[in-house]
Amino acid sequence: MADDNIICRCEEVTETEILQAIKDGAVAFDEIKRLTRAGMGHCQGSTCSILVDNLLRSANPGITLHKHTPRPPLQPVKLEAFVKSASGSQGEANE
Amino acid sequence: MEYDVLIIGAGPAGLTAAFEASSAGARTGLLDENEHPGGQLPKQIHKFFGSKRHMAGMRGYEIAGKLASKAFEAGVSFLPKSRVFNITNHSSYKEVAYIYNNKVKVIRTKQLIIATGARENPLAVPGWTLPGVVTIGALQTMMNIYQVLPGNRFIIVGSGNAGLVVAHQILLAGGQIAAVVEAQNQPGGFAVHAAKIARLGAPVLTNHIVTSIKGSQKVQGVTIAHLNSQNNTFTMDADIVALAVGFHPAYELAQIAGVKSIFNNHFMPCHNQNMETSIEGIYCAGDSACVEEASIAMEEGRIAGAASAAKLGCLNKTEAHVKIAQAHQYLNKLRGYNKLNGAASSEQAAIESKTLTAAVAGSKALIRCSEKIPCNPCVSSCPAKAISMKPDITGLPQVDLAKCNGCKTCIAACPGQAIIAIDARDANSCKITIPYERYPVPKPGETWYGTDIHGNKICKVQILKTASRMSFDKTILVTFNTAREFALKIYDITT
Repeated sequence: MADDNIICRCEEVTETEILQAIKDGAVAFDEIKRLTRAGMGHCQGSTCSILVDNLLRSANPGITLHKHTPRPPLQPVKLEAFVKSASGSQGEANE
Repeated sequence: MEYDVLIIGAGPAGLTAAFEASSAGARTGLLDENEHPGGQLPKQIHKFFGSKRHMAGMRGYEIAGKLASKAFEAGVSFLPKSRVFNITNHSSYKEVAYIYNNKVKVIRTKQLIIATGARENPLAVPGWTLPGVVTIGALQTMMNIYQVLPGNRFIIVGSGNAGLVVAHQILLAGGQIAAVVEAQNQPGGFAVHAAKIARLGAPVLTNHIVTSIKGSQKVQGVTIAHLNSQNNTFTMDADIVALAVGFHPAYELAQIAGVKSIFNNHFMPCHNQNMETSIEGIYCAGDSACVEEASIAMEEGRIAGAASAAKLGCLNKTEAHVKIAQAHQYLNKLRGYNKLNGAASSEQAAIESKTLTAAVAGSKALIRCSEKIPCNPCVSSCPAKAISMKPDITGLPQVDLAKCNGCKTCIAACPGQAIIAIDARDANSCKITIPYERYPVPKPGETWYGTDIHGNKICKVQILKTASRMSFDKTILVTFNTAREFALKIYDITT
């Protein structure tokens, strides 16, 4: 793989940056996320977590992988959507 | 409290779970981010494998319609265009937050079934972010939902069923397959799918990998390397590269709720025999539990639906137990197939020459299906009961040539397009009938070419007739005349 190959497209984190984080001692996706911002973008790591795990595994064969921690909101939600729902009645069915 | 059972995801697992829960009497809701139910089924234009119980032989989009109307008739309320972004677990209920019409909504449910399907695996070779690199599912959506063929010359990376099926559909849509590139030494998907594209001349490069994708601004080609020989790399032109390198469970919603994961090649949610996860009252089903296929998703949905209804007391325990046990029996059968356990080519050759001999007395069916895949529409379609499969659905189909009356019903019924009929009553020539599903459609009287197993033209054939019936579901049966010596060598026809 080329050094400038992008692994996390949302945050434009390259393979070199991920490998550097692994060299610096990161052993789980969540650690790499905190060091590089990989997985903190629009898709919440749904694409790059697999790629980062593969890089972790090839750098440390036999490593126990840890699933990345997704956090709400799982999908991008406009603040406007929260405001709108606060002004309407909660829990109403789809109209 | 709004629902007894709420299901997220209206694919084959979610629809089946919703039907089970609702018909047991639970107030059942079904959420999906799309406008229409069916999950990935609406873009599946090919006939499905499997058994009658799972609607095999029908095209995917028709199965979606059938499952949805069954669920709606059972009283399921469908919440379309709703994207769930959070789940919180409380002692007596779960709270689900979603966006609908750009508003945040929150509903409560006693039992929650997560049937959110799978996500496609990425492949980060250099150049993978160029425009023109797509995943195979996205490509299928463009072609079969939006009727857009995004390029002319395609490279497919990976030859699992998804790669092979979409490669075939690209050919039907008028695209060109430069190559299907496969790292293993044989195609990963069903042999009948591989045969369909092979006989249209599409090359599957086994033992090869794509090492980089080339182009400035957009895809212009790929570099391919042979795995078993050094210094053997070459380039190939293409304007679309489709990544078909597998799927993984998309179960982040379950994770947010606190469900534990296990790792087995991919991460997946922990669940028990009832599809209940590590959190009581939260179930998973279908590809979000483990990536398999639609028939398995339906059975898992049935289990989750019945188990959740039983927990609420809507379904009595014995009835639920019987339902779940039966679903597990089907799951075992569906998972029991063994890819390379088919008839040896010598056995198949013997079957073919025996069929040709028997065809002197009249038209006989010849099945070219040599893998023990869980699929039996040929058996259930035969009015003469001439096709059998032992010991069960994963056996190989066998034609009793004495019973076969040449009615050709099985040809259109086979989802793999792997059955032809041979009529050798004439001493010099043979009439062959094949299934046909593309353009142009041959007309009686025309002269076409017969092609071999690799798509090479081998002889001229005279088109005798074409037949299409409602029950064939858009498959056309084309009958042509050819010299006897080519009878067993022709696999398809071309202009």
